[in-house]
Amino acid sequence: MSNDESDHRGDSGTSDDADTPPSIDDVDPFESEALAGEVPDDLDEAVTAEWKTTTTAFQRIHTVLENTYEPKTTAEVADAAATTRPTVRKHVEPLVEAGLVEERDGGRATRYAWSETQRRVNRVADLAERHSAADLDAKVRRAKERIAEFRGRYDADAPNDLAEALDSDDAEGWDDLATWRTLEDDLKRLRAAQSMADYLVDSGPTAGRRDRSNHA
Amino acid sequence: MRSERGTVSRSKLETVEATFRDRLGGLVKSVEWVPEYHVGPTELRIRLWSGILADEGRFDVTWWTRHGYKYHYVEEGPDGEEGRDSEASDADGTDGGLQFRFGWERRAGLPDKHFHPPDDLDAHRESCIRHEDVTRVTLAVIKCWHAAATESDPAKLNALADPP
Repeated sequence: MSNDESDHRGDSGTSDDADTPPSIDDVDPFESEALAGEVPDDLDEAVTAEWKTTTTAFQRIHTVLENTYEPKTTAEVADAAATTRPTVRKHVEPLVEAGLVEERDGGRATRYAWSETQRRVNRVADLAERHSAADLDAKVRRAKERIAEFRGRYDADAPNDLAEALDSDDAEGWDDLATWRTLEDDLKRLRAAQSMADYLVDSGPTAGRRDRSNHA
Repeated sequence: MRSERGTVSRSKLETVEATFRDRLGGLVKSVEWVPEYHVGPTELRIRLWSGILADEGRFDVTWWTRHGYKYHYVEEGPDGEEGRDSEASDADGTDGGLQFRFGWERRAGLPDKHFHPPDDLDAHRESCIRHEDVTRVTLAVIKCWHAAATESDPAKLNALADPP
Protein backbone atom coordinates (compact mmCIF):
# COMPACT_ATOMS: atom_id res chain seq x y z
CA MET A 1 0.00 0.00 0.00
CA SER A 2 2.65 2.48 0.98
CA ASN A 3 4.79 2.10 -2.09
CA ASP A 4 5.97 4.88 -4.30
CA GLU A 5 4.17 6.70 -7.05
CA SER A 6 2.68 3.55 -8.45
CA ASP A 7 -0.74 3.37 -6.87
CA HIS A 8 -2.91 3.74 -9.93
CA ARG A 9 -6.54 2.86 -9.66
CA GLY A 10 -7.71 0.53 -12.36
CA ASP A 11 -10.99 2.29 -13.01
CA SER A 12 -9.72 5.72 -13.94
CA GLY A 13 -10.27 5.42 -17.65
CA THR A 14 -6.86 4.47 -18.90
CA SER A 15 -8.01 2.85 -22.12
CA ASP A 16 -10.02 5.46 -23.99
CA ASP A 17 -8.52 8.72 -22.79
CA ALA A 18 -5.50 8.39 -25.05
CA ASP A 19 -6.92 10.74 -27.70
CA THR A 20 -8.72 13.46 -25.84
CA PRO A 21 -8.89 14.16 -22.14
CA PRO A 22 -12.39 13.88 -20.69
CA SER A 23 -14.56 16.94 -20.32
CA ILE A 24 -15.47 17.92 -16.80
CA ASP A 25 -19.09 17.19 -17.67
CA ASP A 26 -18.23 13.54 -18.25
CA VAL A 27 -16.90 13.09 -14.75
CA ASP A 28 -19.20 12.45 -11.83
CA PRO A 29 -17.00 12.32 -8.75
CA PHE A 30 -19.62 11.65 -6.10
CA GLU A 31 -22.16 8.95 -5.45
CA SER A 32 -24.22 10.26 -2.56
CA GLU A 33 -27.14 12.65 -2.81
CA ALA A 34 -25.44 14.84 -0.19
CA LEU A 35 -22.73 15.92 -2.62
CA ALA A 36 -24.81 16.40 -5.75
CA GLY A 37 -25.09 19.96 -7.03
CA GLU A 38 -23.68 23.03 -5.30
CA VAL A 39 -21.36 22.98 -2.29
CA PRO A 40 -23.76 22.18 0.57
CA ASP A 41 -24.01 24.40 3.63
CA ASP A 42 -22.71 21.64 5.84
CA LEU A 43 -19.91 20.39 3.67
CA ASP A 44 -18.30 18.40 6.50
CA GLU A 45 -21.43 16.36 7.07
CA ALA A 46 -21.99 15.80 3.35
CA VAL A 47 -18.43 14.59 2.87
CA THR A 48 -18.84 12.14 5.74
CA ALA A 49 -22.02 10.79 4.12
CA GLU A 50 -20.19 10.38 0.81
CA TRP A 51 -17.25 8.62 2.44
CA LYS A 52 -19.53 6.19 4.26
CA THR A 53 -21.48 5.47 1.06
CA THR A 54 -18.39 4.58 -0.93
CA THR A 55 -16.27 2.62 1.58
CA THR A 56 -16.54 -0.05 4.24
CA ALA A 57 -15.79 0.75 7.87
CA PHE A 58 -12.69 -1.42 7.65
CA GLN A 59 -11.35 0.54 4.67
CA ARG A 60 -11.88 3.81 6.50
CA ILE A 61 -10.26 2.51 9.70
CA HIS A 62 -7.33 1.20 7.69
CA THR A 63 -6.80 4.52 5.91
CA VAL A 64 -7.04 6.47 9.14
CA LEU A 65 -4.57 4.22 10.94
CA GLU A 66 -2.16 4.22 8.03
CA ASN A 67 -2.08 7.99 8.34
CA THR A 68 -1.80 8.04 12.13
CA TYR A 69 1.62 8.99 13.48
CA GLU A 70 0.65 10.18 16.94
CA PRO A 71 -1.26 7.46 18.80
CA LYS A 72 -5.05 7.81 18.84
CA THR A 73 -7.56 6.34 21.26
CA THR A 74 -10.31 4.03 20.03
CA ALA A 75 -12.73 6.96 20.27
CA GLU A 76 -10.45 9.18 18.20
CA VAL A 77 -10.03 6.53 15.53
CA ALA A 78 -13.80 5.99 15.47
CA ASP A 79 -14.33 9.72 15.01
CA ALA A 80 -11.74 10.02 12.27
CA ALA A 81 -13.11 6.97 10.45
CA ALA A 82 -16.78 7.92 10.84
CA THR A 83 -17.64 4.71 12.65
CA THR A 84 -18.24 3.34 16.14
CA ARG A 85 -15.84 2.28 18.86
CA PRO A 86 -16.86 -1.41 18.81
CA THR A 87 -16.23 -1.50 15.05
CA VAL A 88 -12.79 0.01 15.56
CA ARG A 89 -11.99 -2.54 18.27
CA LYS A 90 -13.08 -5.39 16.02
CA HIS A 91 -10.88 -4.30 13.10
CA VAL A 92 -7.86 -2.99 14.93
CA GLU A 93 -7.08 -6.30 16.65
CA PRO A 94 -5.94 -8.22 13.55
CA LEU A 95 -3.89 -5.22 12.42
CA VAL A 96 -2.12 -5.20 15.77
CA GLU A 97 -1.53 -8.95 15.54
CA ALA A 98 -0.10 -8.58 12.04
CA GLY A 99 2.37 -6.02 13.36
CA LEU A 100 0.99 -3.23 11.19
CA VAL A 101 -0.44 -1.22 14.05
CA GLU A 102 1.22 -0.54 17.38
CA GLU A 103 -0.71 -0.56 20.60
CA ARG A 104 0.35 1.73 23.40
CA ASP A 105 -0.95 1.73 26.91
CA GLY A 106 -1.25 5.37 27.73
CA GLY A 107 -2.72 5.51 31.21
CA ARG A 108 -6.48 5.29 30.97
CA ALA A 109 -6.95 4.39 27.31
CA THR A 110 -5.09 2.22 24.84
CA ARG A 111 -3.82 4.19 21.87
CA TYR A 112 -3.05 3.07 18.34
CA ALA A 113 -0.68 4.25 15.61
CA TRP A 114 0.65 2.74 12.42
CA SER A 115 3.87 0.89 13.13
CA GLU A 116 6.83 3.19 12.59
CA THR A 117 9.03 0.11 12.13
CA GLN A 118 6.72 -1.13 9.40
CA ARG A 119 6.88 2.22 7.61
CA ARG A 120 10.65 2.42 7.82
CA VAL A 121 11.40 -1.14 6.82
CA ASN A 122 9.04 -0.93 3.84
CA ARG A 123 10.59 2.28 2.54
CA VAL A 124 14.13 1.03 2.95
CA ALA A 125 13.33 -2.26 1.23
CA ASP A 126 11.61 -0.38 -1.57
CA LEU A 127 14.62 1.88 -2.05
CA ALA A 128 17.11 -0.96 -1.93
CA GLU A 129 15.23 -3.15 -4.38
CA ARG A 130 14.24 -0.60 -6.96
CA HIS A 131 17.23 1.72 -7.19
CA SER A 132 20.77 1.15 -8.39
CA ALA A 133 23.77 1.87 -6.20
CA ALA A 134 24.59 4.90 -8.35
CA ASP A 135 21.05 6.16 -8.00
CA LEU A 136 21.17 5.81 -4.22
CA ASP A 137 24.51 7.63 -4.13
CA ALA A 138 23.05 10.50 -6.14
CA LYS A 139 20.07 10.73 -3.81
CA VAL A 140 22.34 10.82 -0.77
CA ARG A 141 24.27 13.64 -2.41
CA ARG A 142 21.13 15.64 -3.11
CA ALA A 143 19.86 15.14 0.44
CA LYS A 144 23.18 16.38 1.85
CA GLU A 145 23.20 19.39 -0.46
CA ARG A 146 19.75 20.48 0.59
CA ILE A 147 20.54 19.95 4.27
CA ALA A 148 23.65 22.11 3.82
CA GLU A 149 21.46 24.83 2.27
CA PHE A 150 19.19 24.88 5.32
CA ARG A 151 22.20 24.98 7.65
CA GLY A 152 23.52 27.96 5.75
CA ARG A 153 20.23 29.78 5.37
CA TYR A 154 19.31 29.56 9.05
CA ASP A 155 22.80 29.46 10.49
CA ALA A 156 21.80 26.38 12.49
CA ASP A 157 23.43 22.97 12.83
CA ALA A 158 20.34 20.88 13.23
CA PRO A 159 16.55 21.18 12.88
CA ASN A 160 16.12 21.42 16.66
CA ASP A 161 18.29 24.53 16.75
CA LEU A 162 16.06 26.10 14.12
CA ALA A 163 12.95 25.08 16.08
CA GLU A 164 14.30 26.94 19.10
CA ALA A 165 14.88 30.08 17.08
CA LEU A 166 11.68 30.29 15.04
CA ASP A 167 8.94 32.82 15.66
CA SER A 168 5.56 31.20 16.07
CA ASP A 169 4.11 33.06 13.08
CA ASP A 170 7.01 32.46 10.69
CA ALA A 171 5.00 30.23 8.35
CA GLU A 172 7.79 29.72 5.86
CA GLY A 173 10.24 28.91 8.64
CA TRP A 174 8.02 26.16 10.00
CA ASP A 175 7.58 24.82 6.47
CA ASP A 176 11.34 24.73 6.05
CA LEU A 177 11.82 23.11 9.43
CA ALA A 178 9.50 20.27 8.44
CA THR A 179 11.29 19.85 5.11
CA TRP A 180 14.64 19.83 6.86
CA ARG A 181 13.44 17.15 9.28
CA THR A 182 12.12 15.18 6.30
CA LEU A 183 15.52 15.39 4.63
CA GLU A 184 17.33 14.21 7.77
CA ASP A 185 14.99 11.21 7.96
CA ASP A 186 15.45 10.52 4.27
CA LEU A 187 19.21 10.66 4.54
CA LYS A 188 19.15 8.00 7.26
CA ARG A 189 16.79 5.94 5.16
CA LEU A 190 18.96 6.23 2.08
CA ARG A 191 22.02 5.12 4.03
CA ALA A 192 20.13 2.16 5.43
CA ALA A 193 19.08 1.32 1.86
CA GLN A 194 22.70 1.43 0.71
CA SER A 195 23.62 -1.10 3.38
CA MET A 196 20.63 -3.23 2.58
CA ALA A 197 21.44 -3.17 -1.14
CA ASP A 198 24.95 -4.39 -0.34
CA TYR A 199 23.48 -7.10 1.81
CA LEU A 200 21.03 -8.18 -0.90
CA VAL A 201 23.79 -8.34 -3.50
CA ASP A 202 26.02 -10.41 -1.21
CA SER A 203 23.39 -12.91 -0.22
CA GLY A 204 20.96 -12.93 -3.12
CA PRO A 205 20.78 -15.18 -6.16
CA THR A 206 22.68 -12.57 -8.18
CA ALA A 207 25.81 -13.09 -6.07
CA GLY A 208 26.82 -16.24 -7.92
CA ARG A 209 26.30 -14.70 -11.32
CA ARG A 210 28.34 -11.70 -10.38
CA ASP A 211 31.19 -13.90 -9.20
CA ARG A 212 31.29 -15.81 -12.43
CA SER A 213 31.32 -12.72 -14.58
CA ASN A 214 34.10 -11.28 -12.46
CA HIS A 215 36.22 -14.33 -13.10
CA ALA A 216 35.50 -14.55 -16.78
CA MET B 1 2.62 28.80 20.46
CA ARG B 2 4.90 26.24 18.89
CA SER B 3 3.62 24.79 15.67
CA GLU B 4 5.80 21.79 15.13
CA ARG B 5 4.45 19.88 12.14
CA GLY B 6 6.75 16.86 12.15
CA THR B 7 7.82 15.82 8.66
CA VAL B 8 6.11 15.80 5.28
CA SER B 9 3.85 12.74 5.19
CA ARG B 10 4.21 10.63 2.07
CA SER B 11 1.56 8.27 3.36
CA LYS B 12 -1.04 11.04 3.63
CA LEU B 13 -0.09 12.41 0.22
CA GLU B 14 -0.51 8.94 -1.26
CA THR B 15 -4.04 8.96 0.14
CA VAL B 16 -4.57 12.37 -1.51
CA GLU B 17 -3.38 11.00 -4.85
CA ALA B 18 -5.54 7.88 -4.58
CA THR B 19 -8.57 10.03 -3.75
CA PHE B 20 -8.03 12.39 -6.70
CA ARG B 21 -7.56 9.47 -9.11
CA ASP B 22 -10.48 7.61 -7.69
CA ARG B 23 -12.84 10.60 -7.89
CA LEU B 24 -11.67 12.52 -10.94
CA GLY B 25 -10.32 9.59 -12.97
CA GLY B 26 -9.16 10.72 -16.39
CA LEU B 27 -9.35 14.40 -15.40
CA VAL B 28 -6.08 13.86 -13.54
CA LYS B 29 -3.44 14.77 -16.09
CA SER B 30 -0.35 13.97 -14.04
CA VAL B 31 0.87 13.54 -10.49
CA GLU B 32 4.36 14.53 -9.53
CA TRP B 33 6.38 14.67 -6.30
CA VAL B 34 8.25 17.94 -5.93
CA PRO B 35 11.20 17.93 -5.97
CA GLU B 36 11.29 14.12 -5.67
CA TYR B 37 9.66 11.30 -3.76
CA HIS B 38 12.63 9.85 -1.88
CA VAL B 39 14.57 13.02 -1.07
CA GLY B 40 12.72 15.59 1.00
CA PRO B 41 9.50 16.01 -0.97
CA THR B 42 7.81 19.34 -0.24
CA GLU B 43 4.60 18.82 -2.17
CA LEU B 44 2.52 16.60 -4.39
CA ARG B 45 1.60 18.33 -7.65
CA ILE B 46 -1.64 17.19 -9.24
CA ARG B 47 -2.38 18.57 -12.70
CA LEU B 48 -5.93 18.49 -13.99
CA TRP B 49 -7.25 18.53 -17.55
CA SER B 50 -9.84 21.09 -16.55
CA GLY B 51 -9.74 24.42 -14.76
CA ILE B 52 -12.22 26.89 -13.29
CA LEU B 53 -11.42 29.84 -15.56
CA ALA B 54 -8.45 28.46 -17.48
CA ASP B 55 -8.29 25.28 -19.58
CA GLU B 56 -6.25 23.45 -16.96
CA GLY B 57 -5.43 23.72 -13.29
CA ARG B 58 -3.23 22.20 -10.65
CA PHE B 59 -3.14 21.54 -6.93
CA ASP B 60 0.09 21.67 -4.93
CA VAL B 61 -0.64 19.67 -1.81
CA THR B 62 1.30 19.10 1.40
CA TRP B 63 0.36 17.19 4.54
CA TRP B 64 2.57 16.95 7.57
CA THR B 65 2.80 14.04 10.00
CA ARG B 66 1.70 15.86 13.16
CA HIS B 67 -0.87 18.31 11.91
CA GLY B 68 -1.51 20.69 9.09
CA TYR B 69 -2.04 20.69 5.36
CA LYS B 70 -2.21 22.99 2.39
CA TYR B 71 -4.01 22.63 -0.92
CA HIS B 72 -2.76 25.45 -3.10
CA TYR B 73 -4.57 25.76 -6.40
CA VAL B 74 -3.05 27.58 -9.38
CA GLU B 75 -4.21 28.32 -12.91
CA GLU B 76 -2.51 30.05 -15.75
CA GLY B 77 -3.69 33.55 -16.49
CA PRO B 78 -4.81 34.78 -19.91
CA ASP B 79 -1.22 35.87 -20.59
CA GLY B 80 -0.05 32.34 -19.99
CA GLU B 81 1.56 33.20 -16.70
CA GLU B 82 0.95 31.22 -13.58
CA GLY B 83 -0.07 32.97 -10.41
CA ARG B 84 3.28 32.17 -8.87
CA ASP B 85 5.92 29.52 -9.07
CA SER B 86 7.36 29.62 -5.60
CA GLU B 87 6.55 30.73 -2.08
CA ALA B 88 8.47 33.90 -2.84
CA SER B 89 5.69 35.86 -4.49
CA ASP B 90 2.81 34.67 -2.43
CA ALA B 91 0.54 37.61 -2.50
CA ASP B 92 -1.07 39.03 -5.54
CA GLY B 93 -3.12 36.83 -7.73
CA THR B 94 -4.12 39.65 -10.03
CA ASP B 95 -1.43 39.39 -12.70
CA GLY B 96 -1.38 35.64 -13.14
CA GLY B 97 -4.23 33.20 -13.10
CA LEU B 98 -6.73 32.18 -10.50
CA GLN B 99 -5.35 30.94 -7.20
CA PHE B 100 -6.74 29.89 -3.87
CA ARG B 101 -5.68 27.84 -0.93
CA PHE B 102 -7.21 25.66 1.75
CA GLY B 103 -4.92 25.40 4.76
CA TRP B 104 -4.65 24.10 8.27
CA GLU B 105 -1.92 25.52 10.41
CA ARG B 106 -1.69 26.68 13.98
CA ARG B 107 -1.02 30.39 14.13
CA ALA B 108 -1.84 32.75 16.92
CA GLY B 109 -4.88 34.91 16.25
CA LEU B 110 -5.92 33.27 13.00
CA PRO B 111 -8.40 30.49 12.30
CA ASP B 112 -6.61 27.10 12.27
CA LYS B 113 -8.50 25.90 9.24
CA HIS B 114 -8.59 28.68 6.74
CA PHE B 115 -9.30 29.56 3.17
CA HIS B 116 -7.37 32.09 1.12
CA PRO B 117 -9.95 33.12 -1.48
CA PRO B 118 -9.02 33.93 -5.08
CA ASP B 119 -9.91 37.61 -4.74
CA ASP B 120 -7.76 38.12 -1.64
CA LEU B 121 -5.00 35.57 -1.13
CA ASP B 122 -3.74 37.29 2.01
CA ALA B 123 -7.04 36.92 3.80
CA HIS B 124 -7.38 34.08 6.31
CA ARG B 125 -11.08 33.31 6.06
CA GLU B 126 -12.58 30.62 8.16
CA SER B 127 -12.70 27.44 6.08
CA CYS B 128 -15.82 25.43 5.39
CA ILE B 129 -13.68 22.30 5.96
CA ARG B 130 -13.13 21.31 9.57
CA HIS B 131 -12.17 17.65 9.24
CA GLU B 132 -8.63 16.60 10.02
CA ASP B 133 -8.44 13.25 8.24
CA VAL B 134 -6.94 13.15 4.77
CA THR B 135 -9.73 11.47 2.85
CA ARG B 136 -12.53 13.74 3.97
CA VAL B 137 -10.52 16.92 3.58
CA THR B 138 -9.55 15.84 0.07
CA LEU B 139 -13.14 14.96 -0.82
CA ALA B 140 -14.25 18.39 0.40
CA VAL B 141 -11.56 20.19 -1.61
CA ILE B 142 -12.49 18.20 -4.72
CA LYS B 143 -16.15 19.07 -4.15
CA CYS B 144 -15.41 22.80 -3.91
CA TRP B 145 -13.20 22.73 -6.99
CA HIS B 146 -15.66 20.62 -8.96
CA ALA B 147 -18.62 22.87 -8.12
CA ALA B 148 -16.64 25.92 -9.24
CA ALA B 149 -15.19 24.24 -12.34
CA THR B 150 -18.49 22.91 -13.69
CA GLU B 151 -19.94 26.43 -13.56
CA SER B 152 -16.71 28.26 -14.37
CA ASP B 153 -17.42 30.36 -11.29
CA PRO B 154 -14.80 30.80 -8.52
CA ALA B 155 -17.50 32.17 -6.22
CA LYS B 156 -18.81 28.61 -5.76
CA LEU B 157 -15.63 27.53 -3.99
CA ASN B 158 -16.16 28.01 -0.30
CA ALA B 159 -19.60 27.81 1.22
CA LEU B 160 -18.82 29.70 4.42
CA ALA B 161 -16.63 32.34 2.84
CA ASP B 162 -19.48 33.65 0.71
CA PRO B 163 -22.65 33.34 2.68
CA PRO B 164 -25.78 33.89 0.56
